[in-house]
Amino acid sequence: MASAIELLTSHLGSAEIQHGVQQEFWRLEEQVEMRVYVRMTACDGATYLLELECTGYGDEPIAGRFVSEKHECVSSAWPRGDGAFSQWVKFDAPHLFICWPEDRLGIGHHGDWRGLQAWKRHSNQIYGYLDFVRKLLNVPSFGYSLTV
Amino acid sequence: MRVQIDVEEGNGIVATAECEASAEDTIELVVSNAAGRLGLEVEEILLDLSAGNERFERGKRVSEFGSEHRWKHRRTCIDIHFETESEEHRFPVSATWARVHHWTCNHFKVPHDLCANLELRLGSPTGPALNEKKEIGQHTGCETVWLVKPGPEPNGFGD
Repeated sequence: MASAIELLTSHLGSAEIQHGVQQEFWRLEEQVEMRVYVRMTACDGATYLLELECTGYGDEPIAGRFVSEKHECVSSAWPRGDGAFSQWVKFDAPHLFICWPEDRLGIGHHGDWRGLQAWKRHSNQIYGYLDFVRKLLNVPSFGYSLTV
Repeated sequence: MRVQIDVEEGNGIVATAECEASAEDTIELVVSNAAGRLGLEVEEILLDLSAGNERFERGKRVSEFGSEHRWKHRRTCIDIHFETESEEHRFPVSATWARVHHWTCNHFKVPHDLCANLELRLGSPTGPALNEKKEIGQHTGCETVWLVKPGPEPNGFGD
């Protein structure tokens, strides 16, 4: 059975992840053991640096945060949007987290979500996470806006 | 001089039109004279038009566009699916996927509000998403693409 880091590394090299790179939805910037930094591109061309903390990958949910170039989780590093967007993305300090049953920090705010084990519904967990953030930043109904 | 415009699909020329042009004519004018005979819209042809290695740019004149007067317009086949319907259509190779999205909504009469929140996926309704700002590109055979709802995502409200 593959270790968490072997599984993570394998998934990062998958065709699905590479397709997203080729489509310029995201770019893998750095991997430091179980921590992965991914540059996400929004529909308006703005980019956001997403830190994915993947301890226990495969069994545990990923903890995602938007961070500055210095890898600091500050409000200015987070994408913003309208009321719909703020249902998923809490972009105002001190509550900075992605409110989604597949995110470890989101689960921290909604203890009942842990039992759902929703992060296990994707065979490629990190692709499932990145594809969700891609939708947040690109599908109009999710409410992302650079000007909000 | 005579200008020849070839329409290329796959590896073959499927249509050709010739027309008289002067060196000072704009490319848009020459294409507008030939488009009807090719059965295509002028704007579609201009989205992918080359002369040798040179690509079309607006405002250029015939004398400034390549050394030969044989131009090429490339098209590629997309097999588009929306819900239970499907249709094969050919698009300019250099057009973006956004054109496929809009064409599909028009063709299948998808309401505007719904159309804006659909996305293109490659191969199947759950295939990888396509970036609509990127060029369609040239595909072997007919590339299957689905226009789908991105799907609801549960989330917590408030906090």
